[in-house]
Amino acid sequence: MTALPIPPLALRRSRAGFTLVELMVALTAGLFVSIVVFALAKQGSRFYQREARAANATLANVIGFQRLREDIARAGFLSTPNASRDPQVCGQNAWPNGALRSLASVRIVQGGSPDDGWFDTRGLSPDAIVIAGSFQSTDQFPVRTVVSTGAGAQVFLQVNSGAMSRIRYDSGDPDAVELLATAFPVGRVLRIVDTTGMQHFGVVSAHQAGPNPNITLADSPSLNFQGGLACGLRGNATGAMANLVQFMRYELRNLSGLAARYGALYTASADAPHEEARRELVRVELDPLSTTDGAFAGTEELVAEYAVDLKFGITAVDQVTAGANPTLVTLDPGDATIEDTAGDANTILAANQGPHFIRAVRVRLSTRSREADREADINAGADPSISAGLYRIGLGDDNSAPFARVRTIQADVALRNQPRAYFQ
Amino acid sequence: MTRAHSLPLPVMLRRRRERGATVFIVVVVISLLTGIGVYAVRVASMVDAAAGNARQAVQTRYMAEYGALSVLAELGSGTATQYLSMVRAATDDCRSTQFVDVDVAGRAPCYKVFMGELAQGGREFLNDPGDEGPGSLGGPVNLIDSEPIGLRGNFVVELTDPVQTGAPVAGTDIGGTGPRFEYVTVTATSIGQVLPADTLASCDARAASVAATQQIRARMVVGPIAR
Repeated sequence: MTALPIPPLALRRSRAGFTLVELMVALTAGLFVSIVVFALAKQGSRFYQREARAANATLANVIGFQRLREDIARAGFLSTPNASRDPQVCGQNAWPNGALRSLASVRIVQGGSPDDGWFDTRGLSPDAIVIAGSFQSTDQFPVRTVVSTGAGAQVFLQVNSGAMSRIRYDSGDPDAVELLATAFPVGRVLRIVDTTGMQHFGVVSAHQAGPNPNITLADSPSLNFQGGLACGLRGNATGAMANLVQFMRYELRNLSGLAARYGALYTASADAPHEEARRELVRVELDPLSTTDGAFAGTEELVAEYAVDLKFGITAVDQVTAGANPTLVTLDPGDATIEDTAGDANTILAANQGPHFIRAVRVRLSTRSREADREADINAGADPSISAGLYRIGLGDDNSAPFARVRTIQADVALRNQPRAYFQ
Repeated sequence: MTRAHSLPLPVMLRRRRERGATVFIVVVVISLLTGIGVYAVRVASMVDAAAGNARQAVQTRYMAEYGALSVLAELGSGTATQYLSMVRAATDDCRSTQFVDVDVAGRAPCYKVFMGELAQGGREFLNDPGDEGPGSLGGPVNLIDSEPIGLRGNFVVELTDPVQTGAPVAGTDIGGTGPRFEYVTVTATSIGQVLPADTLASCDARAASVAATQQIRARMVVGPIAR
C-alpha cells in the first residue's frame, strides 16, 4: 500500500478560501450592486407599466373608434336620409312619435350622454349620436305580395330568391321561423321599396314560416295603400323589396346597472380605486316606437372602456340655390348650431337644413388609462405652448388628483349613403 | 509514479464515487438547455407564422375589396347594360345563390366576373412574382436558394339580384313616349383569395390548406340604362 503524498503547504493555503475581511468587502459591494440593480429594475418596470397604460388607452380608443366610424359610415344604408323631407317616403306625417317618426340617417344629441354630475364636474358634456340604417344585412328581400289586415299588414316574401337563400331559408325546416325572426326581429322597422321607388315603413310584430313565409306588421304605423294615399302601395306590391332598418345609439355611460353582464368591471382595486365611476362608449339598439330613446333590453354593447368624452361635428351642405353649386360648411364639435341640421329631423322645419344635408360627421373620442398615475393636471388653456385639448382627467372628487392620462382620436367620416340628398 | 498535486485518497475516492452524478447533472443541464432552445425556436416560428397569416388575411380582404371596386368601375364605364343582360341570362352557378331551388324558380340571375376577364383590356391588376421581385403581394422565400416564392392573388365577383330601384331618371320622359331608362341595383359578392404562387391554379390539397379566402358583399346602383 502506497500512501499519497501530502500537498505542499503553499498549495493548501491557496485553496483555503476567503478571509472574513474579503467576504465582508465582497458582500458589501454585492449588496450595493444589488440595490442599484433592483432600483433600476423597479424604475424600468414602473416606466414600462406607465407606458403600457397609455398604450392600452390608445388601443382601446382605436378599437372603439373604428367600430364607431364604420357604423357612422353605414348610416342611411337601405334607409332614408330624412323621412320627414324625403319625397320618396310615404305617409311619414301619420307615424307615431318616437325614433321612427324622426327617422334620419344621423341624429346628434349634444350633451346627450347620461350624466349624474361626473362629467359636469370635469367640464365635459359628451354627445350622443343615433344612426339609422340596415346594420345587420346587405340584402333586400323580394316581396311576393302585401296584404292589408285592417290597420296592420302581412308582407309575404318570395321564397326562391338570392336573399332568402343566403339566410338558408328552407320552408320544410322546423326552425325556419327562427331564421325569419333573426333576419327580421320583432319590434324593428321593416322598409318596403315598391317598384316606383316609394318607401313604406312598418314595425315587425310576428312571423310565419312555411311555403308562404310572411312578416306581420304592427297596426301602428300602418302601411298606406293606394286607395288611401296616392303614394300608397299599388296592387299586390309584387316586386317590391323589403329590408330591416335599425336605430343605433352611441353614448358614454356607466354599465354597472347591468350587473349580471358588466358588474365585475366596476369593482375597485388597489391600483385602480375609482372603478365605480368609470364610463364606457356604449352601442345600444333603440326601440323605434319609444319617445324617450328607450332601448331593446340586452342590446347594450361595450365598445370602448374608460371613455371620458365623445363629441361630434358635421360637414353639411349650407346653401342649395338653383343654378349655383352648393356650398359646404363645417361645424366643429360643440358648435351650438349643429342641432339645427343634425338634430331631430321631425322638428327641423327651416329650408336648407336637416340631416339629409350632412355629408360627413366629425367624430372625437377620448379614453383614459385605467390607472391614475399623475398627480397634476395639464392646464392646456393657460399654457400657450400646449395645444387645447383633454390630456388628463382627475379621478378624485371635484376633478382632483390623481389624474389619469387621456388619449383622443378624431376623424371625419363621410356619409356614403346620402351624397346627393338635396330635397327640401 | 506519483503526482505531485494528487488529492488525498479519501477525497479521490469520494469524487470517483460522484463521477456518475456529474455526468447525470451535465446531461440534465444540456437537456434542459436543449428543451429551452427548441421551445424558443418553436415560439419564434409560431410568431413568424402568425404574422404571415395575419398579413395574408389582410391582403385577402383587400383582394375582395379590390374585386368589388374594380367591378364597380367596370359597370360605371358604359358597360352596365351588357353586364346586366348577362346577369339576367342566368348562365352561371354562383355560391351566393346556391340554395335557390332551381327546380322551382329556375337558375337565379347571376354572372361571375373574374379578375382575368377584367384584365383582358390590357389592365394589370397585380405584379406576379418573378425575376424582378416577389410581386405585388410579397410573400415567402425559398429557404434553399433564397429565391422569392411570392403570393398569388385573385378575385371573382358574383353579380346577382338585379332589381329596378324605381327611382326616376332625371331628364327622361316618364310619359312613356320617349326612350325609357332605369336605375338597377345589383348585389356584388366579391370573393378574394391569396395563396403561395407555387401552388397549382387548380384546387389541390396544398392550395386548399394554405389559401386564404374572404368575402364581402356590396350593393351597387348602376344606370341609367335602357329598359
